[in-house]
Amino acid sequence: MSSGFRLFDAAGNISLDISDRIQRVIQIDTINVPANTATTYTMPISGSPSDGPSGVFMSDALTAMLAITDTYYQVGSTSSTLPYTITILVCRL
Amino acid sequence: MSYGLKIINSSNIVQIDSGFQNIHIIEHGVTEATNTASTGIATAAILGATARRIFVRPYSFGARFANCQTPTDYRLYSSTNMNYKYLIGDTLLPSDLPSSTYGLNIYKEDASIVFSSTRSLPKLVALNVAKFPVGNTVLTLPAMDGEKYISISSTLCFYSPSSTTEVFTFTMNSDTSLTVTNNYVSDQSYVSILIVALKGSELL
Repeated sequence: MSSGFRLFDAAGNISLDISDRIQRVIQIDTINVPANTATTYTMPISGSPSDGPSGVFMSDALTAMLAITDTYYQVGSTSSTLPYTITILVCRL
Repeated sequence: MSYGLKIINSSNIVQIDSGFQNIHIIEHGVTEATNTASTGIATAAILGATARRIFVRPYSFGARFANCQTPTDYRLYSSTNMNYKYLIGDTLLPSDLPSSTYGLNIYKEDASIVFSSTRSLPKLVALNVAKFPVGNTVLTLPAMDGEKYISISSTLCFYSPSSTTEVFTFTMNSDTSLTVTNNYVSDQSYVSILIVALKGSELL
């Protein structure tokens, strides 16, 4: 390493080096899906794609992720007899 | 950003930005998964915690597994009964911060923690966001120090809520090879696969 920084822990191990890539949470979205619908929700991804790729992670097992792009994602709800809430975590890496 | 701290490395990758929280490891452990159901991984820890992600790693290569994370629980299925190591990542709330007399803490404008050296930081190995065709897709992972852990977001992880028929299954063949299997009848759904590495010495 010729420039940058390193962070060491008390034991002398490198806990972070300037070359490491770590995850940042750039947004958390909550979408309320009404009952008996099969709707597609389009949500923008904040920030710039040049800051690194984004990962979209959902906290619901019963819906269908339709699309993820650099700038937005789409969530398609399955036809449900119950209303439910989807929480989406978007990370930039 | 008109103020604060932003660290960008020579590859133009933003490493730390005081406007956004980094994911830190807040809990780790071992759980046994079976081919019927395993809902024991830190279910209490993820309840209502929207920013938490679970990362898993089988003790032995070759086991096929599936996972499912919901707001209320986390399920891990394994083709063979096996122990899995797991990490729980979170953005780290101020109340979670252990006291320390050394290191680095970075705060946001609202006083919440963005980065803290008092917690382990999983290092990115690879991020795959893709539609996977029906059948097997083998991903080659870059070599990197530390043990690889995988976090998967597949909303179609189960064919139906009452079924244990996994739509997407994963097989860690080695530290540099991961097989993604789409057992479904189409490739309509995107899957996010986040692979990180962590050395044992880095676990705090």
